[in-house]
Parts: sequence; structure tokens; C-alpha cells
Amino acid sequence: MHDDYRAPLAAGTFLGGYAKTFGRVSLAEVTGMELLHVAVPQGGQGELSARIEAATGLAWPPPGKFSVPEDGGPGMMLWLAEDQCMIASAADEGGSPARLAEAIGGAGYCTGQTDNWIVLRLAGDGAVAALERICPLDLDESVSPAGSAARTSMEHLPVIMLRESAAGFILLSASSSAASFLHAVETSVRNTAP
Amino acid sequence: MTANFRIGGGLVDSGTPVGFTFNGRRMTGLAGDTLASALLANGQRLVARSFKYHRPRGIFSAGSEEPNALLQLHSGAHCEPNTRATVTELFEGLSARSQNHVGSLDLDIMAVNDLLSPFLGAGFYYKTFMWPAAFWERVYEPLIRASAGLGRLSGAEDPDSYDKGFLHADLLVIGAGPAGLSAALAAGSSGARVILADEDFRMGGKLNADRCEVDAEPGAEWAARAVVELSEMANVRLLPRTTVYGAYDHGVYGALERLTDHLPPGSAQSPRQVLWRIRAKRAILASGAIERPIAFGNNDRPGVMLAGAVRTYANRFAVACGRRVAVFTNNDSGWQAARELDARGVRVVAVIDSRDGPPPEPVGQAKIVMGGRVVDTRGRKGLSRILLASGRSIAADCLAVSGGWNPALHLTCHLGGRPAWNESISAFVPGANLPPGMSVAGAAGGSLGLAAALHEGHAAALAALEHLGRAPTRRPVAAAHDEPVSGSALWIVSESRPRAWIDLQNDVTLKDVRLSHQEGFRSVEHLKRYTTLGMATDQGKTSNVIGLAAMASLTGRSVPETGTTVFRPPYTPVPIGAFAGRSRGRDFRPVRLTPSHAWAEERGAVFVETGSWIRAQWFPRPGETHWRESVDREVRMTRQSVGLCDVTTLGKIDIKGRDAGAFLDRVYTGTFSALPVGRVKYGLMLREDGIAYDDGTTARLDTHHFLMTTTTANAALVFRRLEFTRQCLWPNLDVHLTSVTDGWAQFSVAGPNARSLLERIVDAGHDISNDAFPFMACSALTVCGGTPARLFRISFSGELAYELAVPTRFGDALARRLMAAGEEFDAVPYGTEALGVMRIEKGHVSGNELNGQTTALNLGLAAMVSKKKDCIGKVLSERPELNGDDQFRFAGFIPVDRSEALDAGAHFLAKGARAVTESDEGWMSSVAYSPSLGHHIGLGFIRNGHKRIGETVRAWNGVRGRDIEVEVVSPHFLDPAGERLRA
Repeated sequence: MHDDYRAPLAAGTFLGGYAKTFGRVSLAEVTGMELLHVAVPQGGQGELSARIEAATGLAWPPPGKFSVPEDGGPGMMLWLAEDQCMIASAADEGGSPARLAEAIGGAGYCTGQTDNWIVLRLAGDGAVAALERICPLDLDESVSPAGSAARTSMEHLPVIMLRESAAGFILLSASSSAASFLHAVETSVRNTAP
Repeated sequence: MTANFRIGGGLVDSGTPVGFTFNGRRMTGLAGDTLASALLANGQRLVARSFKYHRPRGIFSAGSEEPNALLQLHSGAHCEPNTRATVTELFEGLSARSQNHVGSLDLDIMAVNDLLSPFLGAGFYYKTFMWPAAFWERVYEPLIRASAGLGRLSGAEDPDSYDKGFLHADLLVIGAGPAGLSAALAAGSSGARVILADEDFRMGGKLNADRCEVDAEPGAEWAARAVVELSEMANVRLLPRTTVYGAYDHGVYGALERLTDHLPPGSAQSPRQVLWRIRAKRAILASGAIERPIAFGNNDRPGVMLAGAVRTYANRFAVACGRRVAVFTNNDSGWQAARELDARGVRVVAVIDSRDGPPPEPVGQAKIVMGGRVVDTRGRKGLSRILLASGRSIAADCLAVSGGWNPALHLTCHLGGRPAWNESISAFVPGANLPPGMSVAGAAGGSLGLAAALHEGHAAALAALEHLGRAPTRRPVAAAHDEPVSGSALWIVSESRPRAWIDLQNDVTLKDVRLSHQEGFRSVEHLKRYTTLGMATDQGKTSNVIGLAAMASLTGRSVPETGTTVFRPPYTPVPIGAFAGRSRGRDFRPVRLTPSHAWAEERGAVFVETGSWIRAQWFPRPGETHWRESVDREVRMTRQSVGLCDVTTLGKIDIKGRDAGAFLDRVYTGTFSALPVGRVKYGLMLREDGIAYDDGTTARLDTHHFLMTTTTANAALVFRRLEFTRQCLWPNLDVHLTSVTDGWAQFSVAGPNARSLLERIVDAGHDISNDAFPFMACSALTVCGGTPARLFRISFSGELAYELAVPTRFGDALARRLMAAGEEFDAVPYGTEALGVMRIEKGHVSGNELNGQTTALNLGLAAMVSKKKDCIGKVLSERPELNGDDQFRFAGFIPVDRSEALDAGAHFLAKGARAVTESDEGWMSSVAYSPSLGHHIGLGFIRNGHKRIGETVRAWNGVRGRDIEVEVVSPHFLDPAGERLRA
């Protein structure tokens, strides 16, 4: 009977696949996004970038930006700090962090990050107005155009903010405080509803 | 029946009546009114009682400087005391009450204070409430508290919500009068990102209040058009109803936007107010000027008002402040007020100018008195007559007073700037030391004319554009004429015999200033604190300068020599609720939940906050009535069979790189570079000063890959410090850090059956037998048919124990699976209490012992500080003061009478010693009831403890009044040889 205990474990989602629309703003948990933290061994930027590009088509982004494959394929790579990036890929499109880490091999230091983060997508005409209530960063497009990646904090919680478009944002925050973070973002959306 | 003081025109909507109540009486105002203008339109002159003497008071100003008309708005939980009627926008159903009276507003029995005024001068309570000392707290303090303050709080929780936010701009323009509008138009049309904020609900400032022309159209119409034009610019953000209340470092300004204060309470969905942090590269202060009064006898009666306010009520709000208005002025703007009142059909009965010389012009039928001075007034609840120094008496129900204008320069002083004196307008103007990036335009800078304001606003915008590297605008400056603004200084009418009020809000009279001077208070800061001049909600906006002038005349110095008190934020009151924002109640701060939280909730766990984490403290079972029952059971069953505890909260830091081992050698006291792959080692970190800082285990998962665990409390701190050392101290090391705390759900599985339980879920092919996977082994493996996992054989409880980690998404499922698989062993979940009891039984140190005062030596861990290498803190840990004999040593303690409980925090004293600091021998840091031993046990520090095993000392607890005998024992109460954890 012991083998019953070895049946596969069910994976949960941090926010149960939350998705809501408030007027013209939509807020939803992004599930199935795999995250891999990649750090550059000293002196190894060239080789690491080349391996990542070969495996994913993603170019190492400049500071404050994220890159997407030139061919429009899935995934993105976001700049985190000097010598550090995070690669985001959709689990169902073969973007397994383990496979990617294998492709990178010794050329980079890879750490799985999928379970460390909750991912929200905030989009729509009121997205910027909502973020103004919790985001200390300047959200004007002249300062933070589409393609920007920034680390900040909102309501005392750590956040990585990616700007997909003028009114489209991806927000990553710590998974343990997922409920508090969702509450903070949702409250901002509600508080700015027209 | 109320009198109607409404005149035609103005910027109110005569077609939209608005009903409201004052002290329960129904009244009607118009859309566009403030509460103050509506009260005046209804002939309500008496609106308040003064703070100390309970004197009748009326509306004094037309802006945020109002010292008198502080009212209580709304009812029930929405009740809002001390609201200035002059800035309260009228809405249908608004209910307002007067405050600070016992009995009705008309018959306030506390008005007896006015008769007692000879005894109630400045500082009277410092002198009066001295004897006997026994009365201080029981009689005097309640008495003083009862009479302090004006309005009353509801006592109920604030039902409104508040929010905060962040805004960014190239240019912040503070104030939307002529200078501010001119600046915003110039900067906005050049494409710069502009925020224009104004405290009023209608932008335009004095353009709405004066009869003036800009670009050949009425000022108010020009302002309205400018606002429309600005609102159409995508790069300009208009913030009406927004007070910029403070200037802070790095171009940050605090602003309070009142989103729903003009709507019936509870009717809006959005938060009531938003506290903005505005980060601006440049700022233009265009906050205008505040008119100052002149102090003369009985100058506080309802009907005595600022001349500019009387003009504003007539021009903007279409309200006559009286049937017979007299004007008392020392400058040209008083004449402008008289002219405009006359033009609006308000009867001006006299213009009294303190200056000698010929009158500038006739004003209707008004008597003109040049070189005149008002010395006294009549009319208890409203002005009826004014008396001049010449002995002449004039019947008047409103006296419009203008003593000149003070620039509203407060924000220029918030970062330490000091104002400078400008003789030509007899006022302080902004000094040279402005907040970085700020410039001042218009009346705020002392340029009182309209054309000057428009020009200066435009010029300040051009200068800001140049700083920002932007092309200047081609837009021309709007054209207007400067009105005459000359005047002469007159602060106080010296011929006045009755009391002359300087600070209306605090009931400070000239006599109080004299008394303060007489009693030796020479500094203006002392004057302020002794007399309360310039304190409270208006912060002396109308009283400050005449108070200084009074002080100056007493000391024989000039006003600039006397100096001013320091202006600090906020410019106008900001509700505490706005500062708190969302951070209240359940949302006081964010919380972190463990992966097994839902599961623990289902099992009825009692939770505890540990930092921002919410952890299960114990899991009560039906029938258990006391926490000790639950905790004792969890400990016993874990030690007998197996228990399960969520330990996800411990910090986990992934450390990778060719130099990862060398890096760890430098931050830990022990050597980690030699740790074999697949092994775990306990590590201790020191601060630079040699004091123990954090501890935990670090596993070597691969040659260049370590996984460090930290204490829950220090997880973020340790990560930050490690990043600092990596980036700043040793940038040459090839090492990277990644926090993985949230990424792995980690469970402690402890007890003699721990291995048997784990064997039921660990996938085939992974040998976790004692030989293959001994104490302090670690391995990556899979569980439950392929779920990636990490297993560490480490023990905090002292039992055969493991910590099993899986990616967080599987945490909930793993907890349930472990419990299911553990059913045949009677596996129990245990919480932080049982965890604490077991670690105390085992003698492991924890946060109570690593308290920021203890060294490795104190902790009994001196052997862990490697002699063969250096590490952070090592050198300073070798200080003689921290070593040698007589140091505190970690030890165990048991009560001599085993039935006694122990207290953490108790101090150790020798038998017979007095409980004084000199006798102190150490302290108890952690205590628990040990279900394994059947009595209380404690851990603590006692001098030379390692040599005192078996000795009896006293554990003295002054807080709880307990003093018991304890025996010094080994801190390892259970299995000191460690046989269990190696089983």
C-alpha cells in the first residue's frame, strides 16, 4: 500500500488562477510561467549570452530592460542586476528551467525561481492610475517605455515590474505574500475606478 | 428666518440652491459656495467660540488661513472636528455645528472665562496648577485636558478610507493663481510634464476674488479658460482640491488631495483623500500672499474680517459681509476692497486709512478718515460700532481690515531656509536658501501686483525649462496691470486700551506678549511656546508677523532682528488617517503565509506572527482546553514517534560560484570550503564587532553550489549583508546569491519514526538508510513519483530528524501526503511552541540567545571560531574584554523545587545578594515546561557558568515579583551525547 503515498503530488497555484475585470482594467494571475535566475561567472558574459541566445533566441538585455526573441517566439529575459538576469518562459512551450539550465551548463549559474514569485498581469486604460497608488517609480512612457524592467517595492513588498505596453504590466512579487500583494494591487484598481 | 446677504453675480450658481444645516438650523446656499460664504449669505455672523475665553467669533478670512470658523462637520462616525468653514465646499445635506461651548453657541456658559481673563494670561496654568503635587495627575491634568482642544472626535473608527500615491513631474507648480497659471501655461505649452496643484476647488486664486482684467477679459474668465486649456494638455496634470503641504529632500513634495470631502459622507466609492508624494525636478511656489490684520481693541468680534476676504465674498461668492461695511487699512489694497465693494453694491460707510495725506479717491458715500485708527469696537455677538482714536464712533456691522500682505512662503522654509525681510511691503519674503529646484513667483515672493505675478510665473517657468534642457515656449505672457500696492507698517494700534488680539485661534492678546516679555522670554521660539502664539491648526498664518512686531516693539528691535519661528510641514492640517493610508486594521502590513497555511487552518491551528510570517503555533485537538495540553502532546508524540513542522520560514540563500566556498569561509566562523558535497554543516556568523549575529546550516549541494539557511527573523538582513560583502568587500570573488526562501516548501520530519515515514514517499533509488544518509547528509532526490526535492538530515529537536523541501507549489500537497503516510505512526503536526520546547530541551540556541549582546564564547560555541582562517568579526571577537574569566556562559537551569515555573528574563543572584545591578550574575533567556522531564527547564547566561554546574543560585524576577532557587545544569537536557539524532 506504500506506493499510494508515492502518487504524484498536485501542484497548487498561489492565487487559484485569480482573474477579474474592473471596468477597463483587468487583473489576473499568470500561471505556468517558469522562471530561471541566471548569473554570469566572472569573465563569462560572452559565452553565457551566446548559449542563452542559441537555446532561446533571447539576447542579454541592457539594464532596466527585458528582451524578447527577435522571431516573436515565446519567453523573455529581464535584467535584474549587474551580471544577473531572469529568463521567463511558458511551461507548456518547452521552456522548462531544467532543460534551459542544462543548455547553459557551466556557462552560467542557474537557479530555479518559478516558485519564488507570483505573477500578475495588470492591463487596461486605468492600469497606470492604479499603479500610481502603490508604485514609487515614474510610469510616464518617456521614462518607462514598453520593454522596461524594474525592481521596486509596493506596499512594503518586493516587486519586479515589466511593462509590456503603454497600459500593460507584468508584476512579480514574492510568493509567500501573494495574497497581500494581490490585495494591494486590487485595492489600487478599485480605488482608482472611474 | 435668516437674513439674506446674497448679492447678484459672482462665481456661484444662483440656479442651484444647496440645502445645509448649521447647529440644526436649515439654511440654503448656492452651488459654488463654501460653507463660510453660505453662512455669511444667511446672515450667520456668530459661528464659533474662542479657545480660551469663549469669546464670540465669526468668519475672519476666505481661505485656509482661517483662525476662527472651525466647525464640526457631519455626525456619527463621519464626524470631523476643527474643519475650516472657509475651505469647506458646500454640498446638499452638509451638516455643520459650532464647537467649544457649553450650552448653546449664543449662550456659552464657559464665556465666564472672559470675565476671568485677568487671571488667565499666558502661562497661567504653569503657575496655577502647582500645588499640591498630588493633584497633578488626578485633578489638574484631567481639568486641563477637558478644557483643551476645540472640537470632539466621534470616538468611533474612521469609516473613510485613505490612499497614498506617487507622482512625478518635470515641474510642480504650487498654487493656481495668476502666477501659477501663467507658469503652468508656459511650461505646459513647451511639452514639459507639469503638475499644477491648488488647495481650492476652483483654480484661479485671486483672479476669482478680485475685479481685474487679464488679456482684456475679466480675470475669473481668463483663469477658467486657462484651466480648460491646461486640462487639454496631455502633459499637464491638474490637481484641484490639493494642498502641497510640505517640501522634503530630493525634490519630493507632500500633497493631500481631497477626493470626496465635497460629497456627502459615505456616498463615494473612492478613498476620501490621497496623500501624494510628488517627485519634481523643479518646483515653482506660487502660493500667493495672506493678508494680515491690525491689532486693536476688541478686534476679535464677529464682523471684523480681513478686507481681502470681504472682497472675495462679494466678488466670488456674491455675498455682502455686512449692511454697513467700514474699511480700516494701512495700504492701498484696503482701498481696492472698498472700491470693489462699492461697485458690487455693498454699502461702504467709512474708509479709515492709518496713513496721513490726501485720500486717493472718494468711495461712494463713505466717510474717508486719513491718519485714522480704530481703537475699539462694540457689539458682543457681532460688530455694531467702531471707535476711532479721534473719539469718533461709526456704526458698522462689518469692519474690513487690511494690515498688508504676508507672502505664503512656508514651503520655502521646510528644508531649513530662513525668510528675509522686505521693507517695501513690511513683510518676510522667501530667503536665498530655497529648497533645491524651487523658485518662487508672484505674491509668494513679495510681488503683490497682478502683472508682476503673471510675468514672474512665466519667467520662472522659462528658467525651469532651461534647467530641464527644454526649449523655451513661444507663448507670450498674459497682459494685465499692476494694481497699487504701497502701504505703511502698522501692526498694533497703540492707543487701544482694551485687549487687542494678535492670535485669534489661541486667544493670544498683546497683553500676553507683554507678559511673556516681562517674564524674560526673549526668543521668538520661547514666545511662541509660552503664549501658544502661532500654534494649532492655522499655525499663525494671520498672527505670526504682528506677534513678531509686538515682540520687536517691546525689545526695541526691528522685526527682522526679532526673527521668525521655524515653519514646518504640514502647511495646513493633514488627517492622521491620510498619513496612515491603507495601513490600518488587517491591512496594517502585508503578511507571508507558509505553504501549509490552508492545511493548518483546516486542522484548527492557532497562529502566531513571526516577523511578517503567520505560523502555526500549535494544533489543538478536541478536548484540549489549554495550550500547554496541545504543546505537551505535540512534543511527546514527536519524541515517541514522529512529528511534522513547516519550517519554510527559515531564510534560504542559494550561493553559487567558483569562490562560493571561500566566500562562506569569510562570512562564517567555521570552514566551509572543505565541506564535502552532500554534507551539511552548522554555521555561526559574527557581526564586525565580534558579537554573534545569525546561525543556521549550510548544505553543499555541488562543488560550486551551497544552500545557506538563516533564522526566520534575519533572513532579509543576512541576504542584504551578504550582498554587501559580495559586491563591495570582495568583488573579485566569483560568487552569486539568490534568495530561494519562497521557492521551497520545507518540512521538518522529526522523531524515531521519521525515516520510516520518509521511506514511504521517497522515490525508489534513493537510499536514506542511516549508513547511506547519515546525520548531516543532504541530497537532491525525488519524492512521490518524481517531484523534485531536497532532503537534509538535520535536527533542531534533537531527534532523528530530516528537513524535506519541495518546490512551493507542492507544499500543501506534501503536508497532506506526509500526514497520510504518517497515520500508521500516529504522526502529529507540531507548531512553533513545540518546536521551541524541543530545542530548549536539546539546548540549541535561538533568537533569545542570539540577542545582539552575546559572543560565540558566551554561547558555548567558541570552538566554532576557526583559528586557521579569518572571518568577519573574528578580530574584534578576540578583544580581551570579551574573553577571559568571568564571562557570561551559556547554561541550563532547573528549579530546585521542581514544581516551580521559570521566567524568561529573570536575573541570577547569589543567595542572600541584594537585587541590584552590582549583584547581577546573568539572565534566563529561554524557558519551557519540558514534557519529557516533567518540570520546567531554562536556558540562560551566567558568569563562568561552565564551571558552576551543580551550584544553586536565585532566579529573581522583579517584574513578576518572583524569586526562586535554581540549579545550574548542562544546557543539554536531553540526549547530550546525540544518540537519537544519529540513530
